[in-house]
Amino acid sequence: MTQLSTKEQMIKNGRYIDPDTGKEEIVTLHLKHEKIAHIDCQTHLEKVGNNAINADGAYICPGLIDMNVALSKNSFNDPQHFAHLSSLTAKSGITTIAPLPTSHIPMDTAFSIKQTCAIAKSHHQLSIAPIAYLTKKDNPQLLSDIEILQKAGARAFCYGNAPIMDTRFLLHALQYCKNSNALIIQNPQDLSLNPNSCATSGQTAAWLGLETIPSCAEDMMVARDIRLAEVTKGSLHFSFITTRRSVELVRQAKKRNINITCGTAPPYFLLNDSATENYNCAARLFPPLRSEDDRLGVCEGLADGTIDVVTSASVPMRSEDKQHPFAQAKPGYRGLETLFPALLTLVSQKIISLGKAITLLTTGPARILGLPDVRLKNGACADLCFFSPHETWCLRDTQTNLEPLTTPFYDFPFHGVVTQTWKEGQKIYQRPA
Amino acid sequence: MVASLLSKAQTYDHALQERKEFPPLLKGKIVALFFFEASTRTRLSFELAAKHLGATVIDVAPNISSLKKGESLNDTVETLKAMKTDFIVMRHHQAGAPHILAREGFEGIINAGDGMHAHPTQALLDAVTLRRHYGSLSEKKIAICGDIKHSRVARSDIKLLIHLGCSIRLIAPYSLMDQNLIIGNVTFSCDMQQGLKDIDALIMLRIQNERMTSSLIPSQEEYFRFYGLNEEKLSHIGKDVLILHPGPVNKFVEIDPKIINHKNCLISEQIRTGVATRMAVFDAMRGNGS
Repeated sequence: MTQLSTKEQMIKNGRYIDPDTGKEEIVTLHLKHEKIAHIDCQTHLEKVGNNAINADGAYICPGLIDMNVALSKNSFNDPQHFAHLSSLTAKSGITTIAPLPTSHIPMDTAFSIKQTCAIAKSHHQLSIAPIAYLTKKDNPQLLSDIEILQKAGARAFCYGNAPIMDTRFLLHALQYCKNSNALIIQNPQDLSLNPNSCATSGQTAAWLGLETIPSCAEDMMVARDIRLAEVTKGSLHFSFITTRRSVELVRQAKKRNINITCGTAPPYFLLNDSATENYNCAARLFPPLRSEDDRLGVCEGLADGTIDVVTSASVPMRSEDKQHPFAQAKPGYRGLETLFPALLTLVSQKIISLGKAITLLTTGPARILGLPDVRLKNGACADLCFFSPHETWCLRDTQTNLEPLTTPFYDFPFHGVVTQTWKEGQKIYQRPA
Repeated sequence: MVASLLSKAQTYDHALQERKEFPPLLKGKIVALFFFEASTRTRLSFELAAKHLGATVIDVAPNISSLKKGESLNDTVETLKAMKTDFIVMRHHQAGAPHILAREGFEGIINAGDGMHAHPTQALLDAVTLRRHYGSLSEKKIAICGDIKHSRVARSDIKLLIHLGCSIRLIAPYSLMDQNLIIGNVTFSCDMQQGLKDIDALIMLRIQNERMTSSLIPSQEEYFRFYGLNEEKLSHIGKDVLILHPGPVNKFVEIDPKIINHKNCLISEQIRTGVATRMAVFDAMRGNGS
């Protein structure tokens, strides 16, 4: 019988799905310190011993990575705010986030990047994969110190959640970033087609009388940027692909081995623009919700691997931010808690496999951000997410802090829940009984 | 609901023409006029309608109220609620603004025009005006010509007139049209002469320069030449058609001033039926809110 020291734990009877192969196995995990010391597929129960934690056949996957999340102002400088954030991520099965740089969390100096990572590390709840501003804080025409920031830990560079509209600037940025294989993240929306828009052109918005932008605002930017990536051979990631045409452009570009990847977020594969009916400000998002045909195109892109990653696109949000006429309501929603269930819902609809759902939230983002291999194997970090893929639930009926106006999913019937989250070998969340 | 509103409006219209006294149905009720956008006829019309029915009318001018100091729309409405205001007649530059207040639980909201979305009482008064001449509007062919894209009047007219059995022909340059508005019995023509064929009535719309953020037409001269209504274009129709315009009129942009005095031009009549229609709306909403 295996004797465990205080720094060791054994989890038996876990049902592990390999993100890449989709292979399902009952495993025993031997955790030592913050690592997986050993993973065994054939462990006999008597060998494991009585002091092992019995997962009772629960599904286990690597801790989830959310590579597009906006944080509130004091997330890193106020312990209470950090505790709130990390309790939300833990509840969501997320163990690593890539926060978007914002004016209050700018990630524009080596010091700020190192400090942010250190604060997160000291809490042992959440890892940070920093994304830095592509431009200097005091001069948006100038590139940031790309290599210095990379050496400090920056995993990618972007304009916050805003698109990089200037073609010449992006060309030069891609060229320079190629020196150190730095990744640029682009939210591809040509806002010059209507800077005041708050909805996608279509019947719903037309009858609501909203300022609209055609979905080609995204397609055109994707086409332009694919060409720039092709010409420069730089690394480019599209944060949100939300139209059928964009998916097809990326699909074709990948066939031509152009160095691009792309992501999307749950609203774009679970909802369409009809969610904005009756001026439902909870569905006021950026990019705006698209047509049903676009939603189906995104689903196809998830299924065939054109889309590499799914992110929550979560934005700090209060009901007050939404209590305005639709166009004046703050775009965005709170999406951490619904990230994994959104994908598990697609699994229940047989649109994607369970292995694919896990890939999109684990190995997909890890590869794009250049993080260590997150698959459960000997020596890997013991970040784990336990989940039950078949449970059905609705936010309205759960104990949640989410208010109806802060999520477009308040009444949405989800499949799948996170039951436990482990960070660096320690359980940090257990679903209440 | 619509049928009873229209017949109530017709009754009030007869009474207005005969200068009859009205029963004080809104006695003791408070009506707040809450106009965030400039308006003359709609505002006066609501004020007159409320006063004819005995209401106390207060004017909440957003430019000089605490809204100017940063008070939110909801805060102001809370104040109005506390003052036991029964109706808020609201015009706002943002589509859906009245819906916010309705969602907050205020029942007596009347939409006097919100952004590009809707102008329900204008559509009602257009229908009342047309019904005075035609009786039933079933099978009538109505053209709406002008800046369809930015027009709340067009959106409300299309919905209501289709509901009443009309077919609608939209006439506009492509840049002032939204193809998503073509539903059911709605067709579109960018050629005014083609679009005017066989119609029974024509609703001309104002060019909404204030909502245009880029050049959608080359010049007012070119627009007037191809989409402005003049006697020559009217003569090509070959039959008597009724002409409506929600006002204010941009002379020599969408309409030749001579047309305003044409025997079939109902602009003045629309102003009168506007008061009657708004009286009917207050009447229908009193007590139960909607």
